Amino acid sequence: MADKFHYIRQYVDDKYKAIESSVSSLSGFAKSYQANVFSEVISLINTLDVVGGNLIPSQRNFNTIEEILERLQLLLNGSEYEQGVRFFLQDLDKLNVLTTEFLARSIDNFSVTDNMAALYRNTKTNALNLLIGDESIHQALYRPISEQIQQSISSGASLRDLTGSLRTVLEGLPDQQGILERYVGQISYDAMATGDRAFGKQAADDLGLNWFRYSGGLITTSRPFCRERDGKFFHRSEIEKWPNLDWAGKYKGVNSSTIYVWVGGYRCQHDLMPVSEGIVPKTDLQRIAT
Amino acid sequence: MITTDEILSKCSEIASMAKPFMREGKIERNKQGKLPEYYKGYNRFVSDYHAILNHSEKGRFPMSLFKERSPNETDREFEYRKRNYKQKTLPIYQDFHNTIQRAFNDANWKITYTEDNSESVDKIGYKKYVTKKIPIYGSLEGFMRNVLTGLKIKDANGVVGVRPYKYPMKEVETETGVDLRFDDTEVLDPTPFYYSVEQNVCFKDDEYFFILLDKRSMVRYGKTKKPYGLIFEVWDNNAIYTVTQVGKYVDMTFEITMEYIHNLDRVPMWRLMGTEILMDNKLFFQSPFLYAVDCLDLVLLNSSNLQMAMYNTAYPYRIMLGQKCEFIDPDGHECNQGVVENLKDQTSYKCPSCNGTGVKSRLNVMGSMIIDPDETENISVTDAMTFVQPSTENLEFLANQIREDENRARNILHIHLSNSEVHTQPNETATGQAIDQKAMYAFIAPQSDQIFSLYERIGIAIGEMRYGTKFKPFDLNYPKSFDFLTESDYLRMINEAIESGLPPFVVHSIIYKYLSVLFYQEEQAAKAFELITKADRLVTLTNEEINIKLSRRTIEKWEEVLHTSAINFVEDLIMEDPDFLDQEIEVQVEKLQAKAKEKADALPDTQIESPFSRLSQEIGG
Repeated sequence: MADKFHYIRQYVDDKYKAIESSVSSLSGFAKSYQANVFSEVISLINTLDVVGGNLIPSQRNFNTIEEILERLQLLLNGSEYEQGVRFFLQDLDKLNVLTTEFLARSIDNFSVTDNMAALYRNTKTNALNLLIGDESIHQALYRPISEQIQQSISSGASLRDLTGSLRTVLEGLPDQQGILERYVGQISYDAMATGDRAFGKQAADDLGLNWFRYSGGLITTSRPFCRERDGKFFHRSEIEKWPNLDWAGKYKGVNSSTIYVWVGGYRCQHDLMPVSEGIVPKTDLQRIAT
Repeated sequence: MITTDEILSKCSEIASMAKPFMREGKIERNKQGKLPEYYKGYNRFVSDYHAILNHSEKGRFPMSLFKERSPNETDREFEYRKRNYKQKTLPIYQDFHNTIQRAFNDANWKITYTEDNSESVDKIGYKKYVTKKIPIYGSLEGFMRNVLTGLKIKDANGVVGVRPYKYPMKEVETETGVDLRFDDTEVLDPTPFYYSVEQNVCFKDDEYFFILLDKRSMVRYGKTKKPYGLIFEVWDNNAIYTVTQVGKYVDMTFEITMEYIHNLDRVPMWRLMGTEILMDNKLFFQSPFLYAVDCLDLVLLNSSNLQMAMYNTAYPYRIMLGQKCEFIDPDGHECNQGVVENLKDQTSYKCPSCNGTGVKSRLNVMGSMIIDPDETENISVTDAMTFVQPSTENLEFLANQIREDENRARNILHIHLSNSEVHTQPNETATGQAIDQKAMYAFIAPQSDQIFSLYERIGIAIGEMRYGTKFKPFDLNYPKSFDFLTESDYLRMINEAIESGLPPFVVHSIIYKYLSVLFYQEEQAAKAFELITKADRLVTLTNEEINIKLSRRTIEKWEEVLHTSAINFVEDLIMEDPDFLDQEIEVQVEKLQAKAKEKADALPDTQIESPFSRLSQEIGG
């Protein structure tokens, strides 16, 4: 059995290595970019009106916030972060190729359907929007900066304190990442992992496959939920009842449709791989038959 | 419509009922304290009215509450009570009145006058007449807000009617001489008039009202003429009449004069209304304030009793050791226990020195107590004088009771002071306070609706009387909220709405209300901001949101230009045409937007492609 399904295990290992690598790379670009943002913001806040080292709530100061945001928007253009997102999208393509090849090996007469292609395009567009879309960047980066500056001006805080706060927000602390880096880490991982699982689920739906193998292997920190299921075969009808259970790390709000995408929960490194019925052990088939 | 014969008959009937109660032209209560029962419930509703006046009118002593005195209370004590009576419950009435008046907060209601031909009648038009020219009150809104609201609280069964302030008369030559007739060529000044429940002696809503006026007519009383005759004003759905008693007082004969034919086909008079009650299937009203009157009566009674108790017991009494009176009169007769006796003549009189007490004071002229050193064996200096004060427990109990009754009254009326002890639970939750506020709104809303219903009826009657068919009724939006919101309240609400991610149209509606509060007194500014809110669809967006939409090309450049420069463009347009803001709103919007487009076209194109757009194209999205 181990030999028969080793390729599945290998695929899942390769997949999550690729995801980790890509996410790490993008985080690096984000880290570098947020340092540049910090420099730019500091150079501008040093022009704010102060009295005795404390910011004053003058119209000019509030207008400077608008100027800062405009400068940051210009800074994003052609930045290392934009390049990092570009590479991330290329990594998404590579992962999709890996998954497609795996499915072709696992499923007889497999071919990519129109639904699967559309789903993948959507996954890429969503990831792009979340990572570098105007509103996402605004929420994730610009808004915390402008709010921090606005509060400091309104409350008459010292320029020094504001600089310190912005450094913490943008560059982070020894045990805490900067704001953009943290955001990007979360978004990119989920975009890759869940997007890919959704692709597999779409394949199962389009090709009428009802059996899935819980794949990914175990590590010391694997959840009990995953430990009980790893390496086993499950029918669709069983899987779609899992959201009714309760387990540590369960994704909040998961339902019978999204269980295929979230599986064990946040940062779960398992997949529900669709398989042909022909390779499912008889004991599992009988379990469902009864 | 009621016929003149029916009017005269009715007036005679009413006068017959009033006659046993009349003394020298005044209608007075009988020994049982009753007035004529013109209709079932009349005495009850008049009593209700007076019961409320005890708490709402300054300078009034509620004799009805105090007429049954304590058995041991002397006349002197009662006079003291009357002289020192304080109207403790006036502030509660005032708070209630102010609460009901919240309905008139400018952000809570709206009146929109319709364009009509009324200006052709008097050159000023309906709007100017009702906002500036109403006799006595100046404006109808002022009457409703400042006068009628208070009257309605006090007198739910009182009435308000609309008639000309003066009846214009002209001299007309007839066969018999010169007559005074109604001059229907003159423009009338329709004005609201109020009559109390006491004066409204007979009525049928929407058909007729018989108002017994306070003034009297001259009638023959014995050999002379006296002002004892009754005068009625009768309103029906066609005209207003004056019915005057004439001839001999005892005959109760009346004459009728048609003062004014209004031809409105409805009576321009309405009861002030309140909480509805039915008596024999006839509708009457009670003021909502009445429900608190019992508690407030107790407050007045107990406050007065507390005052009396303090007078009697709250001050310490001085008790001191006296000395036997040693008075001897010039005839050598000694004081004996306060009486100086002349045994020879068998006469006696009260000792003038000790005033009949037999004991004289030990105080010297400086008020110091003097004790004979020889007496110090029997008298301790420290025990020679002491002060005695009765316990104040009862007074405290009474004071607490008064506070409780006040609080109960406030609770009934849903009026709370923010820092009062009214809250039954010291740490009331936000939920509890929100529930209190909803209860208060539920209490005020029916009263507010009635007030605005009267506003509408009075306003329309005024318009029709003065302008006839040239008048078009206005639109009146009744209040739905009774908050008294300041500008900072609205700013806070706007921020909260944006942060909560509420839909833009919700944010817009709050901003519009904010602007109406900000500019309600500045007509020109109000018009300018109305124009801007109609022309600029981005009016409620922040600059950040606009920049994002610009980069996504979901808004045009001219829209952003309009948003940032609207005020300047409006000023330019006014300079080009001083009457710009008087044009149709659609024309104003068109011109304003055209100005923005002209400016935007003149600007260089500095649109920068966003990374999102660029990458989207690369991935074919």
